[in-house]
Amino acid sequence: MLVQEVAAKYPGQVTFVSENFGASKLAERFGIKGYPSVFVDDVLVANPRDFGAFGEGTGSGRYAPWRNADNQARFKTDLSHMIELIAAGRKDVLKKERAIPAEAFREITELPNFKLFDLTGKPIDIAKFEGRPVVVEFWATWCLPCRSTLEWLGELKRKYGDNLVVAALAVESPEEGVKSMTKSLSPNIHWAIADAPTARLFGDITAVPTMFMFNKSGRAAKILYGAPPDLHEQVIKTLEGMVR
Amino acid sequence: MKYQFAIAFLLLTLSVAAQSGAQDAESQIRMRIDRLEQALQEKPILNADFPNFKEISGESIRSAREAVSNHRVFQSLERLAQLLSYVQGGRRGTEHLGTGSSALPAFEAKWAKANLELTAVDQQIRTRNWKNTPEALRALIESALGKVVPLMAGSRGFALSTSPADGMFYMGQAEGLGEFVKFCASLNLPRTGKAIPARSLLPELQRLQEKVNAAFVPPKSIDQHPRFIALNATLKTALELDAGKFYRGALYQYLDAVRSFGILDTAELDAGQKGELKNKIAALRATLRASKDDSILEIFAERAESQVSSAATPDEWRSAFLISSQVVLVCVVVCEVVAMAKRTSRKTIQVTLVRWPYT
Repeated sequence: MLVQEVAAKYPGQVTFVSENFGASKLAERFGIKGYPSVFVDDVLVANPRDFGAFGEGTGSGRYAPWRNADNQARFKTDLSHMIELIAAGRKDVLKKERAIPAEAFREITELPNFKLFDLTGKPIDIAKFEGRPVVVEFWATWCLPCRSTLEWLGELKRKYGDNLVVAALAVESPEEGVKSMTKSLSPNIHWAIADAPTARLFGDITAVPTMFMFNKSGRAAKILYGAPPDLHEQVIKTLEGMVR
Repeated sequence: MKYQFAIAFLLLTLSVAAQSGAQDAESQIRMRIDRLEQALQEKPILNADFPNFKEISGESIRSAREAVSNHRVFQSLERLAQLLSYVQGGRRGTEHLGTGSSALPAFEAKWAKANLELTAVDQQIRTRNWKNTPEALRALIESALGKVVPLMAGSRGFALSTSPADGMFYMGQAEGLGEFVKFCASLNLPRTGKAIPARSLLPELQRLQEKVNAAFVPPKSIDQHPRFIALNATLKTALELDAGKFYRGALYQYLDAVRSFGILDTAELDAGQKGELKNKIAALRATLRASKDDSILEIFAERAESQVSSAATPDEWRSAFLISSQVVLVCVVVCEVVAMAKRTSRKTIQVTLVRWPYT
């Protein structure tokens, strides 16, 4: 809505376009791993990292925390400035101003050595995960699509039994809500609340649900952002190659 | 002399070909309605949540047939879209998903399958060659497609927050629209004129939204509350279509929003105005048929013609009046602004938001 609002300030001069993550040629060209991202013509002016990641405080991204009205106002001012630079034919200046550092979006390659307590207060011992594929789902109580994914993870765990480890880590969610939501769900999943340092260990998690899949050696095999329509197929396909 | 004969023959052939094209489309629509009716007879939809399902769908079938019998192709398609969406929603709503904790995974499996199929339809349409498609048909296709993602997202939301069976209805509605899109894409309905230039209508849509917000004050906001809800929904659809580069669909929805906004302040028409309006609409339809591809306006002209030709309600008269005045005017202005912009060929800047469509 904010992007649309700014675009509407320039009638006849600016066109607003919304593209879906996964189907955006622009995002693909720039190697954008998450969402949202914003482009003015073919200049990347805000990447997912600019809106902050879970487990990080103020200043972690240009406009983080995004819920803050001042940050939203700053985003609008910046976007207007960028449009005006392009209109003035100063794309070179904009590209210089908005140079996105290569390490802007952190994606992990290995299962981090995280230390958490599960909802019953027992420590989660990741040494015991060794030699088995691991699925780690980041979720939140306020995220509707997360719920069905969590239910399905229970089924997945039933299907693969001890050959698979599943951990579901809640972010930005009250403990009571997490407990109440998970009490009817599979007891064979490691349920926990991820503190800020743990969330940061997993790289940049800019939205939930985000699912990490690690192979038996702990190498990241797949990271799934959101709950795409073919989530189940993708997960099963990846697991089939890992669980023997 | 022989060239004059040849040209006359060519024109006659083209005219017959154009008519038979439209005729084919009408036959196709009739057959689709028949097929739908037959399916409802063979496998009736008995849903306790929709006790009047049979009556409502029966009335929709009747009105779709009436439109096609009166050669109002676009109006019959508008009605077919509503009908397919409603019937498929009702059909899905009757499916048994199991009980207890198994219902949600069953819903999820059906949802994922439907979503994959609808995504494939979306991709086919986005890469379609529109060269020979009337603008109105494209607008109807884009509008239907633009509603699929919100319906699918809503279906999932309902399934999780109320019950999986509730989610099934909205999922079925999305599938019905997908079916409509595929049907429209298969229609033998050639374009009869030059395409209108298209562009983003964001400034116009934002201005109208501001006007609607400003008008939302008592007593109007209370007395005409359902109209405001419908109007805002139309504007929201138009904005989403515009953002997705579905500019014909956005124009169609925008013009409908202009009409709905006008109704808020239009007084009831008297007998003299009604008589005059009938002539005006007949003239409008004749003009549109003979011009460039103004078929998006034809959607409205057909609607107006239908509204004044039966036992019209005061609102139908108001609607027809607004179509013949404001909608036509706004459409002409919008298209002219686009044409001017094309002539001056000032390059526009594109701001792209890449977002997640499913959550």
